[in-house]
Amino acid sequence: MRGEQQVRTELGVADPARGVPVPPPPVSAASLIARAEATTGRQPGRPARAQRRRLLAAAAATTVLAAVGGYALVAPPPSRPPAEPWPAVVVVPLAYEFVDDPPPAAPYLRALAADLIDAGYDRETGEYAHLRWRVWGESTVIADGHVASGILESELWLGDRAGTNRITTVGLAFPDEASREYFQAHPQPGWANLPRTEAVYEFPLVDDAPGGYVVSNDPKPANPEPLLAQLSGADAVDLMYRVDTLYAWHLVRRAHRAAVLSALAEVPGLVWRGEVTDRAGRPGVAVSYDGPLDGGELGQHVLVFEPRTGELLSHEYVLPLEPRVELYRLYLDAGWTDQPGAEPTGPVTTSPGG
Amino acid sequence: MRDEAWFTSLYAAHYPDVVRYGLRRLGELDASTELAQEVFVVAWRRRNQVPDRGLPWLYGVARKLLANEWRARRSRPVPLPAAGPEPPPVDAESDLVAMVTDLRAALATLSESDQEILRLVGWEQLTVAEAAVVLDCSRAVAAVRLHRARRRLAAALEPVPGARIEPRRITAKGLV
Repeated sequence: MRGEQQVRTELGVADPARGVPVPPPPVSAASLIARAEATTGRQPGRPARAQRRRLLAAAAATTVLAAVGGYALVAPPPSRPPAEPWPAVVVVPLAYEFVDDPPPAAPYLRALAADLIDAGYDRETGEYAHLRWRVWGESTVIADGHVASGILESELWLGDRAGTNRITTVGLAFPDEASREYFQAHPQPGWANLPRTEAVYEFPLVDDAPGGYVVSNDPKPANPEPLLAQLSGADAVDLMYRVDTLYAWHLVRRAHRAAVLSALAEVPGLVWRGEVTDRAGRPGVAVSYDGPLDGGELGQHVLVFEPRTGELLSHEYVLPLEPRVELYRLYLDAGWTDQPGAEPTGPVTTSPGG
Repeated sequence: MRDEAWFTSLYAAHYPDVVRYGLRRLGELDASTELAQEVFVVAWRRRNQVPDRGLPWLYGVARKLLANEWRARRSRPVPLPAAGPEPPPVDAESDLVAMVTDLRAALATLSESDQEILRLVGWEQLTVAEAAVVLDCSRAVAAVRLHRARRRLAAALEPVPGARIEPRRITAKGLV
């Protein structure tokens, strides 16, 4: 991730341990084992409790795939430059129906959960679950107080035991016009040569992964209780992330969508933002959680749902006082297919925001 | 197989990394060496939980041990140790010295949460996903924390109105 590399470049010079020689360890590995055994009484080699196997619903897209064992990069980024400048958009917060004094979200969410209709994929079958979503705000460059971020699109094909994720850069996003103007005047080194298709990964779908959920993509009807059990006990922000992760890696069936909405209805602090138009131009209904988050700043997490099927359309993190969109994930496609098409494609020319 | 040979290999591979993790947070080699030993004692006890890519997990153990120690002392950790390599000689890179000083000072103004995610990515050179393992949170949460911490660090590095303008600053290009 380019943002990670930028952090290393920026901070590395101030690393107090960089280049510091570390003396050899004063005690051997065998001594440490003896110390460990002396304090626990456990016999060397005794196996720990087997870890539960979980269906992979990994916490996010790009780097987790590269970092976790078992993932294979099957298509390295092509080196050719893009045929045209990157589409660039300024991402502003969504326009809410209820801006000031929004009502509690619970009754609206319960009503929505009680009256869901099938999504398109509820009536389909196929060998692979096919998902497509876009994120921005993770691969971020900061310069002179201005911010730019690549918009990355993930397209996933998820089979019974393995999946494929094709990650494509589709444009650049800026939180304000000043940032767009700055980076137009100061294009970053290497931007012109960034590959359109970042990488194609293959990965197993059975693994222990942070944020995993035991929810199958099996199209048959399923009991939502196990999912509800996993979603209970979380605070509002944690639950919103869990819901986001769930949709990023699954076709969430109607019973499970209702369970998600019901779980959200039980969390204090969620408010109803009413009707919105999402970044892909689709009608939706939004709920938000507003409060001081890490670092004390006022943040706002927003989930937008399709108003009839209850599918998640987007998850956004907003700084409402500025106002500024810090991160978003926009869900674009969800369905079944028999074709695991994951070949790198040519330039993407669709609207980068959605 | 998680036997003594596996542990010896893990110890040899990552002991220096864990000591440096301690150095960045404690500023003392002796304390960092003790911390590293404790980390590997835990690693042996919980060896069947150590992932194949074990370093982020080891950092996570170190972080918890340090947190417990700090809680025991009922005081906040020293965010940036005074120890460590001296900045480059003034005659050769005076601007770099000023930049390092400014950067460490700016880091020190941030919350411990902000500092930790920046250190994990910037100094331990972890990916966001690996940092999430250390912080025991989802990757998405780690990404948000990093994003916000970077924004706040950038703000902390902004020159104060009326203050002297430093000749060099951190930008997206690094040192310019």
